[in-house]
Amino acid sequence: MASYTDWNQALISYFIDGVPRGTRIYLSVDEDVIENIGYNFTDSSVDGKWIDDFNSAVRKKVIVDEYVNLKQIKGKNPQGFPQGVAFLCACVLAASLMGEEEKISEKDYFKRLRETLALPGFHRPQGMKSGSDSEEPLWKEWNLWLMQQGFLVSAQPGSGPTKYTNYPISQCLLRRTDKDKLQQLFQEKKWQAQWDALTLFVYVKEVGLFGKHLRDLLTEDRERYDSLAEEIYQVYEQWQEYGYSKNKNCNSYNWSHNLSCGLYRTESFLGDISYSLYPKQKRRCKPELIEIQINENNYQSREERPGWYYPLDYYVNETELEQGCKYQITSPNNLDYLVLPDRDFWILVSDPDNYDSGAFASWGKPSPGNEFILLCKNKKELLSDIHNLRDKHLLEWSNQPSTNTKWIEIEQCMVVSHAWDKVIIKNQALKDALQPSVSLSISLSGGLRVPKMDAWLIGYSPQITIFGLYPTVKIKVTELANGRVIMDESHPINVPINISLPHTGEYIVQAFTQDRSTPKRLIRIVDWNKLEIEKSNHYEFRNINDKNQICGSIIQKR
Amino acid sequence: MNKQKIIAIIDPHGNAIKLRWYKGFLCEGSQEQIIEKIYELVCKFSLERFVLHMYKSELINNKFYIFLGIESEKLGHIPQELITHLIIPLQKLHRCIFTEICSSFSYYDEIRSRIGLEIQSCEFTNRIPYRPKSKIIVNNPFDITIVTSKSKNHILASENIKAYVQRYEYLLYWLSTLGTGTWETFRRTCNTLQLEESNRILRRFRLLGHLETCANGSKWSSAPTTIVQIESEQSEFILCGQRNIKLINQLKLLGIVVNIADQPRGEAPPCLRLLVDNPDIITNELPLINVGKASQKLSEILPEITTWQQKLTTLELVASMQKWRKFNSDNKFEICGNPNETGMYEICDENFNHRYTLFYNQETKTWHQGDWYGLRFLSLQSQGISCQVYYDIDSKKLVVPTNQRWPEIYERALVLASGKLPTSDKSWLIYENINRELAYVLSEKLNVKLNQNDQELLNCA
Repeated sequence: MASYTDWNQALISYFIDGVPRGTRIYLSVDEDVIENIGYNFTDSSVDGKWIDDFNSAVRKKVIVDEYVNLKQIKGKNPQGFPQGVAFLCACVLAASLMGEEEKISEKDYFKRLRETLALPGFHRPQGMKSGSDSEEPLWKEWNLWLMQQGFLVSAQPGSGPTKYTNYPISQCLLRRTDKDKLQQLFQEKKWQAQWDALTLFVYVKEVGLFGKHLRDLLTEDRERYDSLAEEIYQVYEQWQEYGYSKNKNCNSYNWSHNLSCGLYRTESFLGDISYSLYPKQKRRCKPELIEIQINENNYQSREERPGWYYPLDYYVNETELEQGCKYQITSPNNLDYLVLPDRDFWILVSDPDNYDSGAFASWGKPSPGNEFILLCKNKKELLSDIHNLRDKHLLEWSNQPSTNTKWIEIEQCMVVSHAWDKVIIKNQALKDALQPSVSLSISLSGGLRVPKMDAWLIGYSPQITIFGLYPTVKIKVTELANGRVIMDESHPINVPINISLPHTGEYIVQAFTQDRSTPKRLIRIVDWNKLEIEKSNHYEFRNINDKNQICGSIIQKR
Repeated sequence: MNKQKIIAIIDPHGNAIKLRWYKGFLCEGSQEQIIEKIYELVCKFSLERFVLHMYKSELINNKFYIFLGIESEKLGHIPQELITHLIIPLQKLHRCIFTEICSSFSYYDEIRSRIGLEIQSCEFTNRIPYRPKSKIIVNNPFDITIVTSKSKNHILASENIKAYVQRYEYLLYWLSTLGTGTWETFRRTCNTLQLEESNRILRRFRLLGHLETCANGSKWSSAPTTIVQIESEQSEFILCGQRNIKLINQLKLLGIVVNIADQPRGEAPPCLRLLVDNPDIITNELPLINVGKASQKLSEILPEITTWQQKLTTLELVASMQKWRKFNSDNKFEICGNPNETGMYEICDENFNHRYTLFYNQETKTWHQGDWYGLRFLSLQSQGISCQVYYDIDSKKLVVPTNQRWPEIYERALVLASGKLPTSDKSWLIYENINRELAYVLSEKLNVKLNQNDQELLNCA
């Protein structure tokens, strides 16, 4: 039987591994997730059901004589991981078990949580009488740890009586019933295309005939769209692999056999533009090295950063872009294909780890006010949509794209408004991809950033820009260690602000208007003596003659 | 100021379907608070469907006007959603007065003439100003414009050379941490650290064995940390490649750092010289590679200059599509037609400003990219100019005329012999710790005349 510590670590890995920094993290746990994690343990479960094993491990750790004791799971373990995650997942599990139309109330929630913990009764269990002293500190620890790792947080309190129950409820994305409904939909529609997650999401949204919970998920709160799209895509992959079945066997919890890829754009000094295949890591499945065969040539790639492998030295051609393509993965054996999805357009943003690198790739959605490149099919209907967005003052760009190629690059694109809600264009996927998911956002740029530490070097801290619809915002910067306020003042929006962060340490930045606030962003400032030497897997070598090459002062055989 | 007369929105048949007009309000209280609240409510309830923009008047005696630009089916009819979600909440705003003015207005001018105050437009639908950054011009990292006396003097005249040295150290630490990157990353980092002429810095770092670039220069990787043996009476090494503060402190603790010397003009990280009797002990303890006498090894395997030329990266381009300037025997570029002679050329923009430098081989009709000084060296030789070098066996100094500077990979063999960049004056580059064999081998391969112990010239240099 796996221990609480095993589950805690496995759950953290499940939600973090292979996930790019900057992603909003949801502890979206349901029984499928627990079974999936359990399936990958080397031990076997006690009676064949991992959910029982998990519940038992949590109970053993936190229940003493029907009393919940959370003190021992507060703080971090010696490896630096928060210890309360498995318990928080048990809370989310309780929330996910609430019925489709069940009204969310504190009583219902605690009834489910008590069931998970095998405690009789309905209300807050003994030991958790005050949310502010019991479970909330664990949520705060988790949120802080996520921020320190460079992720965005999603767990937040509610208002009034739902203050503490909202934390787990805010984490629930797809419930078991939602997944069943989605599989039924795929079965009916017989969709087989090699879409990516966001394209599938648009098709699912267009159908729209779902129960309240799923309908709300699909239409409200754009901040969670990306995470939701990923979850729906997992269900889609599972259905593609195993078909529709209410009764899953263990194998069906490991359904991922393909890697998807984005595009990585480079431009030579003569102006030649190329797009390399940019393999994306799969969550919870990230082999160190992948090998892909294309046209009888082998290409290898290793992890470049969390969520991504290095771009392959293979440039896609127009036909591959036009129709999408599958490339055979030759290693590791449990993966089949690298899939370049069939898309009408690609959005290429500048490197979030280094805005100044000049590289553009499929790193995510463009945030308002930041430049990106829109690579799109030269189709009249699509171009009409794009021009329509410009006419409505939602999108701007500067160059006049050439129109004599099958694909067009629109450079220096920028989303310049948040007022997208009532806009109707034919290509819904384009709208979804460009529409801002938040009305206020923080952008950090410039300075000297150390990507692996997700930190800036002292003396070279970033500029802060708040993008949004409001004329001014209040920006508050606080030193995390002592709560000292470094800045608390109003600033015009959309204008970069230089801020002096005087010491090494961690700072929390948040922007406010009267009724809104941005999620908190953490800025870490480190000293030069913290820099480590990167042991790269790839060094540039220059050929000296037919037999020898050089890198710095190292001469070796070619 | 805007004098637009927006009256009606028409359908394709020319029928008016909506009207645009202005509703005025007299406000009292904090202008900032009221305006802020309007933005909040418009955003929260997506009211930009009904109210496209507004005008606010100047503030007189704590009073001012707001004119909402409303879109509705009838003139004077305020949509119910606007009343519920905007106007009523504004009227209830604490310590503010928000009073409706009876009349409606159709035009901007009408508002102006009625209130007689300056008014300012505030948009709801396009709040983020479109200010694209200047497009990244992917310049050639191997290109080096001829040194301007201004930039050179700037560094030489600096009294705070230590500050430059520290920035170069920072640059090397940062590159060591990053491991790999693009030319643009390198360029921008130099800018952030206020280090000018990133192309030259890149070249200097390659000469010192700190980093390497790919053949076209678009990507770099910092080189693994090595100790390179140099010619000395003792067992002396220099430190090349990646470094950080921790490593330097470890070396100091071992007591093997004999000298930390600034580079000439402080234009690169300092040279660390190590006294290492038994390199194996050091390389077992620290993540270092002992590469031995890299300078000598490199000189031995470097090809003849003609072979080097043939192996340069070749580029495909249509010459007639470009504007050209050719490098002439006066060490200057001059405007020319389509290139038809072997030599170094600049591709220029419409106004004959420099874009990038290439070498044209008339025999093979091929274009080549490479280190700027290397291309100039080839150009000199193709013009039949005799290249010279002067060597003094006693001081172990090699002197190269500045205008005949060697291709980077050959110069690297000289720099790795001491770990120091050449000192220079107007006409000469002086390399230290060069043994006779190295001077001879490289001169032969470069087809350069080696003048030994020309005391008069050496003293001059």
